[in-house]
Amino acid sequence: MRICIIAEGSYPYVVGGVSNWVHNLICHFPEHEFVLFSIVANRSFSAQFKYELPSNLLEAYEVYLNDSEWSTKGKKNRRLRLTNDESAAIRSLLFGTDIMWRELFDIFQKPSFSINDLLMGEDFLEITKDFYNAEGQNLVFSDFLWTIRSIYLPLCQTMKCELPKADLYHCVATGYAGVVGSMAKEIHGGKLLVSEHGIYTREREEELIKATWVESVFKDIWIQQFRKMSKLAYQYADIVTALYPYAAELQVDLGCPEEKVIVTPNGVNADRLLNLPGKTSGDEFESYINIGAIVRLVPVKDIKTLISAFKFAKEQEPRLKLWIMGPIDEDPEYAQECFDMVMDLQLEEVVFTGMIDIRDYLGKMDYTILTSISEGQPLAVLESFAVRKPVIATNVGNCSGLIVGDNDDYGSAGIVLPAMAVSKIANAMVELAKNRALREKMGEIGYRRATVLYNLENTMQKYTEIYDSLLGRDAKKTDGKDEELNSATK
Amino acid sequence: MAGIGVKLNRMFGRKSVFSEVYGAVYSSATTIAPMILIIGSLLLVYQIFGFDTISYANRALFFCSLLYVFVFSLIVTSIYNTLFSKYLADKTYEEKFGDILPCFYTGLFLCIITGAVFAIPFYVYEFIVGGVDIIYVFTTYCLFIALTLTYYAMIFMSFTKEYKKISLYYLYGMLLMFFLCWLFISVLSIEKTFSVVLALTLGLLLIATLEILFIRRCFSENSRNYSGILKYMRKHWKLMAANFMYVFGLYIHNFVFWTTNMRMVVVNTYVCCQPYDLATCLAMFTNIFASVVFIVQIENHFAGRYKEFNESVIGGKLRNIEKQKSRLFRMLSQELLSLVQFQFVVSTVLYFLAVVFLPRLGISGLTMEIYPCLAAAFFIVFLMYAEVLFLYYFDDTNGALITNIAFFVVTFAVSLLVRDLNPIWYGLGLLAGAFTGWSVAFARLRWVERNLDRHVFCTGKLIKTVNQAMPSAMVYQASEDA
Repeated sequence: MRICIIAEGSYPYVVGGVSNWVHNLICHFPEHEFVLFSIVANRSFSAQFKYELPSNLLEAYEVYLNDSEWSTKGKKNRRLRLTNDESAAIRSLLFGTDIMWRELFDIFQKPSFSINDLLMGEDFLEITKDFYNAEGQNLVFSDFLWTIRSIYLPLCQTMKCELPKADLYHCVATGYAGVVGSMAKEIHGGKLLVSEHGIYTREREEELIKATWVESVFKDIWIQQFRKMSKLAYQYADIVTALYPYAAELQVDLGCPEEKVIVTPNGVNADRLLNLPGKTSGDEFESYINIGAIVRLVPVKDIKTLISAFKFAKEQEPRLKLWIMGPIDEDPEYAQECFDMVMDLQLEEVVFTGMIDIRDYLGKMDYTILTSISEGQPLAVLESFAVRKPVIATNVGNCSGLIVGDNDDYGSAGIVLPAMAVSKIANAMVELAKNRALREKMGEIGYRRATVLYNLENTMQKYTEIYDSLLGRDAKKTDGKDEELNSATK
Repeated sequence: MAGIGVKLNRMFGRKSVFSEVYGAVYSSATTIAPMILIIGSLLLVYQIFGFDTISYANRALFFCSLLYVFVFSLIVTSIYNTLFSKYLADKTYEEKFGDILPCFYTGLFLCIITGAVFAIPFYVYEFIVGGVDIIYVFTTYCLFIALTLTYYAMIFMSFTKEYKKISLYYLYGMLLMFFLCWLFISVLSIEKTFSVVLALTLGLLLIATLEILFIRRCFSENSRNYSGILKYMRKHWKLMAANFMYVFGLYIHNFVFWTTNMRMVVVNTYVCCQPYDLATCLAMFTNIFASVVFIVQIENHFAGRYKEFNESVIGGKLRNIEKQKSRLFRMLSQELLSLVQFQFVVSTVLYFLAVVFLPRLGISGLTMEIYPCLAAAFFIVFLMYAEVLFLYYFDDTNGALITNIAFFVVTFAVSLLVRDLNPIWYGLGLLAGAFTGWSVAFARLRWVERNLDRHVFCTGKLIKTVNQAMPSAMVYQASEDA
């Protein structure tokens, strides 16, 4: 069967948890043909793959949120007049009530349709004026108009995309990926599966709240737009998966029908991490308490808080050494800021390894740390558990559930702290550094939890059942879901 | 016009009849002074140096030489007039002052070439077929080029708003002309018509030189971007065409009557129709006074209201924008109505003065039969021109072009039809063309008002357009890489 994976800004352009998950998923199902549809920022990222694509991944497609308009009909603006139905569809999109998505898909999939002609057209201007009178009468109209245009431009680019045909569309997020998946299902038929690793809408909300590039009055308009896109994906999806129960609750709150939601936790391949080399006499790890951070150097991982906390911890426990293990090229500016911070703080025991095979390092760590400000169900934590290493993590996403335990009584496999709490993180680093017995006990708890409850085989088995239910059986079964599937996943 | 605008505000602001008249005289004097100076100087020369003693043939040749020089130098510079003004305004807005001097040089070159392309064959024909003295022909050609340069340089001088300086340079030029006329005619005893042509040439060259030196002082930075204006010409060709059509339309009716039995052929080269041409000149002067005042009014009142509208677009709420738009067009209507009223009064007074006094100056007969219809026509022409100026304000180049094409075509067509009618109806061609142009411009202004939102908010592109088919979305295919 032909499965189209739809991803936004992850696989195979960025090395990380979600990308690894997608890669493992494709590799796990050699019997299926996969097609990849990626939503990327612009053409500079085109075909910049960081993974060797599996042999059953036959084609890769891209759409760019920031792209030119390609037209053989000359460069002049043409006066676009929308029909009444088209105008009503665009209006419903802006106002957000009973959005006429089917009609919108038809509009944007017309070969000759021009985004410039729409967004710079009179009809869109009139609709925006009505929306302004309803929602933003006290705002500067020019700013409002251009904000609306900038909000809908990436959505328009997405909806104009060339859609590959598949039997199943598997979106790795809602947002623009969810829109593509829904549109593909509407136009080509087939099934739609949405698997959320983080809750896309909530993550965008958090980013917007902190963002300085948009005025606060417009943040709500942006947030509402993301909610509309997520709701579309939930409505069209046959099945929606979440990594943990709280995420499932959030999905329902955001408009996902409860009966569609299945919890499918992440899984780790513990066998792959067996018998990793530990510290050896005379190596650079031996005389230190080694703290590993399996992270990309990007702002969401909050490396700066980690470095600050390490500075304080180092003052209390001189044996500490911090290994930041992950690619440094995703956000070069942020990475340079981190390097500069380490130099300014004169921290000689902070090592940036760059992109590595964690099997070379993880066994030599005493414990690992994750100071992200946003997470889903991080594979980095599960990998640490698989090697019997406790984890210090911030209380974001499902980190608390993994470390303390959601549905078991195994105990705590690490320490959970508030995000950005530098002194608490430092204290936790020192606590684990000074208590070997505690580290070992937590490590064992983590190993048990990972191998019993977050086993990759279990995860893949669940997806096998999900795929079978969507591909191999009657479509109507997805309304109530297969009971066997229910009992296996919840 | 900002410089005189401030002074005018003070004059008009005093709100008395005297101040209104004084203000009107001042604005006219400073904007049409150059034209008045040249024509006045020539009339004085005509009187002082006894041109009525010159043979009829020489006088006719002299008259036609000057007529052709004035008319065709205006037509040549009309091609570039508006476009260069726009280029200057845009470069000033972008603060790229270094582009102005190279643009000036490019335009200078273009004007000379454009003039020469038409003038050289014509003057060669005058020499060969007309048998006119080569020195006289060459001097007339130089006069044509000098006047073209003078008109061209005035575009840049006007942009600096140094109207008093322009008038002063013309005064110097005409003083030189007077002096040289006296020197050539009274001292050196050179033939009168040639003396005046030569003196006028040198006087205009002095004016052009002074203007060019002033422009070089004002815009001393040179970015060497000589081709910038050429790209503008490609992009804004409609602006060039619109102005050319207007100016050509102002004279096409004359050209039509140069083909009638009333025409005078001089040295087998020049063709003119003196009664009709003189009537045209008188009709133009009867009405031009009011249009000059109007142009200043735009600067003083409408520009401010337009600025308020722009500010509301940039930083205002929607209801403010709608309110400012209404105020803007209300003022536009008021300005046009004021112009009609003012021009009607002034033109009527001047018309009656002309009808009473011109015959006493020897202008009568056929000229005075043709004059009334042309006076009415020019009344509407300048109203039409006012509307075209408003269209330029709203960046409606298409509207201006359509208006001026309509004006030109109807003027030409109807002039052809009325050639055989009674002379009192000779001006119907221009009248019909002006009325057509005025109607088209008026309808266009109403259209602009209805579509101003589209023009303000829907112009341009949100994303760059690439003129080719979209590349395939597929960036990888396993079979190719296996």
